[in-house]
Amino acid sequence: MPKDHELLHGALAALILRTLSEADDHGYGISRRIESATGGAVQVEDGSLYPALYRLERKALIKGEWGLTEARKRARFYRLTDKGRRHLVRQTAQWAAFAGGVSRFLLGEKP
Amino acid sequence: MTAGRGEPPRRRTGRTREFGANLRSLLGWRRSSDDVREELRIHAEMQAADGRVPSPHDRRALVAAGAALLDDGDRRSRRLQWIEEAWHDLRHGWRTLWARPGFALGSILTIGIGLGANTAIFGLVNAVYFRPLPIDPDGRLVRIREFSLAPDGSRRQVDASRRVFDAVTAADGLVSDAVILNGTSLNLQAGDGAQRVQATRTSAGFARVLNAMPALGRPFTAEEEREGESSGALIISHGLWARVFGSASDILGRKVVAGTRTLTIVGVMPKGFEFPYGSEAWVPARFAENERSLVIFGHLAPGLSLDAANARFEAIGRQLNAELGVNALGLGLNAVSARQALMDDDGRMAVALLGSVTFLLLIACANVTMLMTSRLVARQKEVVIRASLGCGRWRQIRQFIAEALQLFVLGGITGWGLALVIKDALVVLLPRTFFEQLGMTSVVLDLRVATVAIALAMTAGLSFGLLAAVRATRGDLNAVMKDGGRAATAGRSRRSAGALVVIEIALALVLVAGAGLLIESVYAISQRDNGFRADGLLTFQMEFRGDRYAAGGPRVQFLDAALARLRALPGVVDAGVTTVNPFCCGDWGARMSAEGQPPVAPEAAVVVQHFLVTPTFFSTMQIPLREGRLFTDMDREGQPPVVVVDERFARRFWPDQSAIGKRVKRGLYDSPFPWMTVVGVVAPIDAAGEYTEMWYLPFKQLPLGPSSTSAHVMLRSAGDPMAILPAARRAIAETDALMPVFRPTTMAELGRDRYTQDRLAATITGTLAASGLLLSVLGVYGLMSSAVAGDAREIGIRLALGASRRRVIGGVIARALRLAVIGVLAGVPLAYLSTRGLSALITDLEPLDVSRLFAVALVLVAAVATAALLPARRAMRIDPLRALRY
Repeated sequence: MPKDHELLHGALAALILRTLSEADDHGYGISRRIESATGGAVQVEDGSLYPALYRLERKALIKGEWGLTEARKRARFYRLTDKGRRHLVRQTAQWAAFAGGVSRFLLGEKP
Repeated sequence: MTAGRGEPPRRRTGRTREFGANLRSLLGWRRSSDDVREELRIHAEMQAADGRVPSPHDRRALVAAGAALLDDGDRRSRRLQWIEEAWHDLRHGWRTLWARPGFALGSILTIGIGLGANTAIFGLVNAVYFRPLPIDPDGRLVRIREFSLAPDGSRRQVDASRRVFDAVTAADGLVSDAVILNGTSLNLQAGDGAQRVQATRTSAGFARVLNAMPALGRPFTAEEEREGESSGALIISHGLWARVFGSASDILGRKVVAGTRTLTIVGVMPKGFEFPYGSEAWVPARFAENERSLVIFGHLAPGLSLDAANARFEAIGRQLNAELGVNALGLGLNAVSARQALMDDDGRMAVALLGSVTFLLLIACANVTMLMTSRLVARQKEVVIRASLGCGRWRQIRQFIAEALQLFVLGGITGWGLALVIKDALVVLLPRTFFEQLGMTSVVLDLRVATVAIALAMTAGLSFGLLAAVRATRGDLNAVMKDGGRAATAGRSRRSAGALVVIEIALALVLVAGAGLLIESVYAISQRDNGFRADGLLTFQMEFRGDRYAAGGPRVQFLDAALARLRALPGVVDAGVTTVNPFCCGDWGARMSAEGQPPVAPEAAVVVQHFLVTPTFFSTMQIPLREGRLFTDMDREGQPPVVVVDERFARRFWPDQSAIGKRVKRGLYDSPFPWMTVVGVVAPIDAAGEYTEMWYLPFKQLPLGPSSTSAHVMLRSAGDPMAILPAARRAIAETDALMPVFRPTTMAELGRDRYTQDRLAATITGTLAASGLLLSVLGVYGLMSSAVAGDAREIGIRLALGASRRRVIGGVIARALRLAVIGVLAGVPLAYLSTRGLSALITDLEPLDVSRLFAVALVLVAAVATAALLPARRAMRIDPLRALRY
């Protein structure tokens, strides 16, 4: 499966935040939801997910806490902080501008 | 699908876990490796449960991510790691410290003694010299005094007059608030009979200026202050309240008869407040225009320095002189700080004491360093092994310092406890008046003392720990490993331990020399010939007051009758009366002129110590007659005036001839006083006053003469002088029931009181020197013991090869003596310099001479040799076979 690392790297943070804005979740859950929400277009690589989570938590955009899943299994759940929510709004706007510009150019549309 | 998708998952969060995480994030945000690992493990589990098989690439990526996370965390938590390491160092130090509790306790005790002595002495110095006085919290209180200029230009400080008070309080911006005090006495009819009480008359503002609020009741009201004596208000001291009134709770408002007046007690001062000069009662007073002998205290105006104020005081003094028409040599004015006025000491004693305790601390530290080093040398192998396992030298040094710091912290705590005991012991040793004059009751160890104590402990711990650690970690890996435990560096290490011992011996020499001098001087003072026999003498004071004693006749009659009764008492050997007590309570100088000498200007007139005595005074004091005769009962009013002089007096005026038959008079040459014939010459006595020559006049010829209202009775007792006091009191009361008897004490006690400060210094430095000597001896002992233990094999070989045991002992002792000699040689110049400083600081201290120095050196060398004896015997007993086998 072809993967665009460059693209993902910048976008992964935004995708995580977007995912968590709907509901708190653990790392595995986050990756599965991103995959299904993007219709499988984005495959989150395990090796990128956790460093990304770690960085986001260090920046206090998300907060991780140990809890129990519905199957009563221990897992580390991440929650979007207020700071993270504000960050997501900004990121989304930036992404929209960026992605709009890129797709227009690539698809040959004229402004 | 995974659990927790779609809907919010149920969660339970461990409180402690959360707290731990919070703490960690606070310290630099680092998740523990276990935490991260578990998260990744759970991820893999969930993946497997979903039936998804990660590719090898994915698995590697996951592991790499975990490693990266942990590494990142490590880098970010250097601070945390440092703290963890420090904690580890402390725990490690604690364990090794208590692996040998004997060493730990010995070191802690040694440090504790050093720090405790320092803390207590500094506490005393702090209380006496630095802490604000209770009467002067702002440090603006000064005593304003007049001085008269002696012909030689020296100033004689005297009390001030009402005129001075008016002038300085009228000056703008000089004194913001001032109070006049004047000593008096009250005869209170309270308790069992008449009580003679030292009292103070005070102008308005007593409570305000002297920060002196009663503990019970109230200060004088403005109205009482305005009315003065007639207000009848009285404030008493805590001591008087307890002694005379039995600490009665209904004391306020109680009326007491004082002489002819009835006073009402309105307040009781706090415990320990007996200002000024042991006053036990205070009454408001109005001071007349012409009153003199007043004590004036005032607050300097804000922002005015003492020097600037003194310039203005001098100007006011000159102006007053001009108004009074007094010549330029007359009156002057100046002010000194309250502390200086009360202490009459410029901190010399503090310097001597602080110097001594610092030496003691240094010796203690040197000892502990030596102990630590010898232990560290024994641990050389540990050091080297740890070094070979990659433990950096700095890390090792840090561990040793952590250990040393713990020793010093524990030693500091021990020292603080010791200081609490020592400072109370100091208060007991100190003369009572020493503190009362300053209005203090105890030494308070305040924040400043604590700061100094902690700083001392930390500085000493760090520096001496570093010293020991640097020396211990100098080990050479190969040498030690090869040598099977006998450290190759032992020789060098012992050499530097030897250097420490040398320093200790040098310091101990200085301490012992200084203390020896002080003790010698105090002993010399106690043995000094006063010119009379002080022991066995009881003394008390009486006062001729009121109309009954307005004429001379009744005074003479009273003394005759009283002395007859006193001399008849069982246990009384002899009794006499003098107007001046040579050891206490002020002196009395009289200007005099000798016949045949050229007349001199008033300021150049000779002033001599002036005594009025009864005939039996000389025999009671046992002052030997050198020439002529003493007084008899015939030397009374109407008979030819006679005088007895002392040998110094005779030598001064008639150096080459007999003084008998010569004539002298009071005042200047042309004064109206009669010429008096010298009939006797007595041996000089040592008196507290400032005049060296003395003359004695018969009381009966001058019963109304200067200073003759005050009579000091001298009673020579066959046994304990104080035992005859009750009988003596009765004898006086039988003669005149209203005659007050006060200040009863013994002359021996008064003689001791004169040198309490010196005695105190001698006691303290003596104790310090003894401790210092003991510690150095212990140091030598420790060093020689470890040397013998370290050299056991060598000694064994020598013994096996036929060396005599005597030579082995000699070798050990010779080594100790070599150190002692070097230490003494190093200490001699130091001791010479410091005792020279000491003799400049302390009165009557002989400087160190060669023979004394030699004696001190001998003491030290002998002590060192004794300390080496035990290890030497141990060396002698070494079994060559055993020593060689192990």
